[in-house]
Amino acid sequence: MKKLKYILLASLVLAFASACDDGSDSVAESQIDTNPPILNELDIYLRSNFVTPYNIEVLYKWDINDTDIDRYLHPPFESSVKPVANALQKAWIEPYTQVGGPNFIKKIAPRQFTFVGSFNYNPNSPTITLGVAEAGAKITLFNIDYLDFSNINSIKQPLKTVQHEYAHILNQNIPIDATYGLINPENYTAQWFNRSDEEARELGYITAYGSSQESEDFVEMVSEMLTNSKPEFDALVESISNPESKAIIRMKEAMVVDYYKKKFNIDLYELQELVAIATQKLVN
Amino acid sequence: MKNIYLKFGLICLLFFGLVSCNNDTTESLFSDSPADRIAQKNSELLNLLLKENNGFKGVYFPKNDEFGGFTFYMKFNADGTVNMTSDFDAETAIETSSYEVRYGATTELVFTTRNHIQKVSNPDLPGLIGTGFKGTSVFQYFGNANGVITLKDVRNSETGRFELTPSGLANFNTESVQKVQSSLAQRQNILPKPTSSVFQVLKIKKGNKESNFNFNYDAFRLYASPRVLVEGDVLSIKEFNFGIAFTGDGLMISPSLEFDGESYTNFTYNAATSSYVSTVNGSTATILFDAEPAFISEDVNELLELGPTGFLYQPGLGSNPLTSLGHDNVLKQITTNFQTTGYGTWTVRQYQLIIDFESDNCDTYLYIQLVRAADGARFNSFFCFERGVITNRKLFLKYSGPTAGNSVIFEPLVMPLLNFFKSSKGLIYTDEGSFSSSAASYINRAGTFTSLDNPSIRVYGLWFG
Repeated sequence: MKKLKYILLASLVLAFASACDDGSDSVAESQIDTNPPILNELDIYLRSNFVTPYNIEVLYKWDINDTDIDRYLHPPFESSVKPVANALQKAWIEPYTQVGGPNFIKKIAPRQFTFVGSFNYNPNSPTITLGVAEAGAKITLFNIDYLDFSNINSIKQPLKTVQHEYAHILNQNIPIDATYGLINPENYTAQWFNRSDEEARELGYITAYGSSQESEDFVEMVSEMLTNSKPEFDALVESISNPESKAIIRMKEAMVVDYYKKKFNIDLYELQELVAIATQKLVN
Repeated sequence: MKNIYLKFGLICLLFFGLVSCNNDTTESLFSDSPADRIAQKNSELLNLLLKENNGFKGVYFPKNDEFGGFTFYMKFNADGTVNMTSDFDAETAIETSSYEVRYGATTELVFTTRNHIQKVSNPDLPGLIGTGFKGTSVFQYFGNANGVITLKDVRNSETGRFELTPSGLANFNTESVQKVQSSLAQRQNILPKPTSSVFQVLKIKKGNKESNFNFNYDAFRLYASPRVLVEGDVLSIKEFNFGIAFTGDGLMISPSLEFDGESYTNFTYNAATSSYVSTVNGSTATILFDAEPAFISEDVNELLELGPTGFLYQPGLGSNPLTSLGHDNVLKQITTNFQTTGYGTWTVRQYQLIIDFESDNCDTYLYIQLVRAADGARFNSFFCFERGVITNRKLFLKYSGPTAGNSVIFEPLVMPLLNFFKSSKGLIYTDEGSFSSSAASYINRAGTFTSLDNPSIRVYGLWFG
């Protein structure tokens, strides 16, 4: 009898649980649009050369949320995209891969590049922004429509931006020695744009922007070394007339080289040579 | 006792079981899911765009409280490309780029790679560095009425307008370019010719009433700020503002001009009278060049307060469209006069007008500096006027002759410029704020002088202490 009561009770619970099913919550077809986007030849090239091997996405099709919505910017010509992507591959990815190993860029790299065609003018300032790095995950390159691939100095401009921003990303993975900022902090200034590069070098900073703050100082050293061959970089340093400033730059150079060697086991001078050869080939 | 609890429990359970099936489903507002409705809206716009085999005509006012607009012809293709031309500049060849219809804040048409439309948001435009014409590449879809697609810029939703109308062309590739070239020609028609008056006026006639506006057209921004005198207890000046976009047969303005109960938007060019005419309910609004301005401001009285200062015109400081082609011709005539007299090539490097209102002792004078091209040598000359006189808001300068030396020799050669300043009908002076030119901007006050003897001659210059 007791057993019968439990069976009755269980039946009631079962009936209770299933009583209200009207079939409306049955699994239907997904509402997410999974249709593949239209891919043109350029999209396929970028997927093959950046997404598949390095998990790096190159965005060039305009999305207003990819950049500062308050700035007046525009997307690039499609014809501007491949030369810049190729320059990144040849003069940034491949040299780093050669000296750091096949997984170096795969492990530490921005996951997105955004290419913008127009110049990015800074409001209320006589400056433009060449590139932006966000949280080590994304680098935005501006004014790619205005690059001249027959002029090495024009090509060096986006490469310098990438080397600059990539050095920031490396610093975010492994911080630099805090003593770097103690070498000559007295002339760091937010009004760095009032200085020429030559004036900054006479104060012991490799560029005017390098004299803005410690972290920029470090990555400007890296980017100058990686967009100039060693003879070119040495000539730049030797052009400094103030011997004390020259010595300061050399001290910073040694710290940068030491950072790459100890933290990433990369010979920066070897990397410098590979980048210089690759950059020259881009012009040729 | 246990049995009572068990029975009580069973009854409660049965009760819950009965009431739990109450159908309280609320009425559904939409029959489709949000994802489906988004997809439908996107498809709606995409289908509209692809439906027109010969594309659309679009007039885009990026910000009609600052700038005028531009005409585009666009043909959207199923492979995600769009062919486009525009009247933004002389580069009218059809270009191909990519577009997407996607969902952002709402359904959006995004021109994803660069084409003519991005000329409106190019921040590298000289004179508008950093902003360009404040345009965008992203347009929100606001609806379709009889095939006319209304789009808006998320940043300028109030003042930006972009409407796509079926082009009506038989051959997009050939006719679209011809159309935008016609628009570009209309953009030239609104500008004064070397011989036409600089007094561009908007006349509105309704019945027997005529209202005259000084048109105040900014050819660079394609923007007009017509001003009219309004009678009331006291006379006051009322200003209207609108952007202008040029069309094949005239122009259209945005926002429309609302005046005396009528609304004027589309103007047709009349080549015979070099004017643009809009007719609404028998009333007409006409943009034309007139012999005199609609009204003369009191700016000339500021000259009385200037003190010992000079008005400087120097081409080396950069150009400003307020200096008329007629004025440029005056300087060319002086160069020609030197050449025909056998002196070789000479040009006016600068001239200065110093005005005094109390003395007839050559304290009002015109200083002209000339350059001899052969060796770059500079020669100064001075020409005297009697004291300046202001009558009926006009400045009158009476010429009294050259000073001794070179000035005597140069006098007949520079006479076209002297004639300008000694205008018998007077000169009109307008305060133009601080100085701005193609080359520089200074805080110095700037102004224009226009001859009423020959209203095709106007000069823009700055005042210096």
